[in-house]
Amino acid sequence: MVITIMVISFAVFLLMGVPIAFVLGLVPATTLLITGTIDPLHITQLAAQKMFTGIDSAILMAVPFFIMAGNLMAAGGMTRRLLKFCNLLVGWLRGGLAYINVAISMIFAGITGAAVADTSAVGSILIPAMKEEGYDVDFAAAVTATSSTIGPIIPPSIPFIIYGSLSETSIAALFLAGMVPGLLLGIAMMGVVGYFSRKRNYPKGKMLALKEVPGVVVEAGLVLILPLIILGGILTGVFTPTESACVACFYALLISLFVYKDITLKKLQRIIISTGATSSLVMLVVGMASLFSWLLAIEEVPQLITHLIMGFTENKFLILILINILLLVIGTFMETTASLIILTPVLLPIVTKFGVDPIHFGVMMVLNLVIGLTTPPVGVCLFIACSIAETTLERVTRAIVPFLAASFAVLVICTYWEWIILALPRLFNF
Amino acid sequence: MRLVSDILDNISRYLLVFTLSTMAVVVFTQVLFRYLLNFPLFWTEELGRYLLVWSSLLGGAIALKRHEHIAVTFLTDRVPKKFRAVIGKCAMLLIIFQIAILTVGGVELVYLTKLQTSPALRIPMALPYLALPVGGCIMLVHALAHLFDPGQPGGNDGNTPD
Repeated sequence: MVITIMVISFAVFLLMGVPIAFVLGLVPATTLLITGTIDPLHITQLAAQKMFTGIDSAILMAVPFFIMAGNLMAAGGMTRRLLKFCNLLVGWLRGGLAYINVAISMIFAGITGAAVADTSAVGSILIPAMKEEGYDVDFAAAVTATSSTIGPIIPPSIPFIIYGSLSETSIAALFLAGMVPGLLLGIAMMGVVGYFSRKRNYPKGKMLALKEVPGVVVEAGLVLILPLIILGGILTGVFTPTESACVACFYALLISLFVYKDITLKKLQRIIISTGATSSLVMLVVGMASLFSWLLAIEEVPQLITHLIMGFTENKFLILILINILLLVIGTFMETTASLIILTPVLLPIVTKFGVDPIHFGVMMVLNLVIGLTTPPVGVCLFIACSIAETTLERVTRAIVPFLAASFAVLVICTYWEWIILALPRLFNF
Repeated sequence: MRLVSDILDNISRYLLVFTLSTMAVVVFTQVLFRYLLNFPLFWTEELGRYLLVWSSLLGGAIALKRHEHIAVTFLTDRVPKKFRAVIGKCAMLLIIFQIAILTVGGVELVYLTKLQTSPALRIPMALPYLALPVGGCIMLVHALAHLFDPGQPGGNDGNTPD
């Protein structure tokens, strides 16, 4: 009865276009009101209490900090300088700009934890440039959208922070675990870029004059230190993930203010406001979802689903494949944070019963959900890339298929060979 | 209603800049004191967490004002225009209902905890809890303004600001 009401109200509210954060609050509230197990005044108090305790977390402070670091980088001249550096690395290849697109996404991924900021920051510079040099617009949009999904896999990563805080696994271990799959994603996408560049004879970029090289390297080097500070700080135990995110913000701010000199106080105020608004999208989902998860736990939904799956199969790999398919479907329709918060408490107990490592499962889940960011019909990154490239979803959908195939390949590899994910964290004794 | 909503939006922007930058400074101070002065502070984490709650609710209000909350719109985009407006109104009513629950609950919490003090800072617990009714009220005004005067299209596919 309770579960039926929850499922129906969830579907109805979501399809009506109620924002996901509010859906997550409304579903348990209406369910409790209809069943009448708790009196209304107590429900409001419970909702507010759960909301407060959901957000009131030291780990989650890292979310606005990592978003701020990304925004500072996108607003200041850091993106432009990194582009020059990537040009030096891969620009001279056939299809240079497409390679640059993937490479800068991987570096961007080492500083911010979100995919969406990357799509708009990189896309607004590179898509027009690619158009001008004669690349297909759809191809340009597809590369931009898919490569930005590397962001949440290569550390730092906001989805990993949320998964870590939900599953009580070490965030440092999750960050380490994301490195290899992130690099694999990058390499796979560069492979696709290489194939199409040769087939369609895309232009090569110019080699940089030798005397320009040191300047470009030094300027970019100031930014490239950031991922080292973040990861190094966390792994050596000097900083907590939250502190490292905060230090990253101050470092980015100091460089933009005093070295690159391209951020004014007025601009800084705008950056802070937009950081607050963006991170609150995640934080409200987190807060509202805590009542939702509480009700799921009370109703013993995880145990129910475990029984359901165990009646079907007990093969570990088969179960992971089933969960992968489920996540891919959900990932195309729902936002990453919301899916993580609802599904982690439900799915994690099931897979640990079959001997799956929580770190392995976390990386698999996030990998899965971010692929959903670029799959039609509701991929957020896809929409942004489309609107920058001024093309239609239908046309980009065709261009994105080979990139999606590459991402799926990485996902399957990471699902089947768990040591690919677990080797690095094991090396550091997690 | 529009006017009140605009004024509140301006105020909450300034508050948000204050809470978020203070939060950053507080956490940074925590690191500085631990390593440079060898004198770990015990209250910074708690203050940071409470500022996070305030920032989240203020930011949530600003996002609501700008229709930035992420919603699934692929169905509502495909129904005829006439229905779309009606569904939009219903969705907004549901949002108002949820915000009302939080605001009322927040008032109850502030009232219940008026005598408690926080463990580290020793400030009244009502201060952090106050974020819920205050943020709730601002959101309520924005939502009502959207309901009676829907200037912009509702819903957003997750585009982040700027």
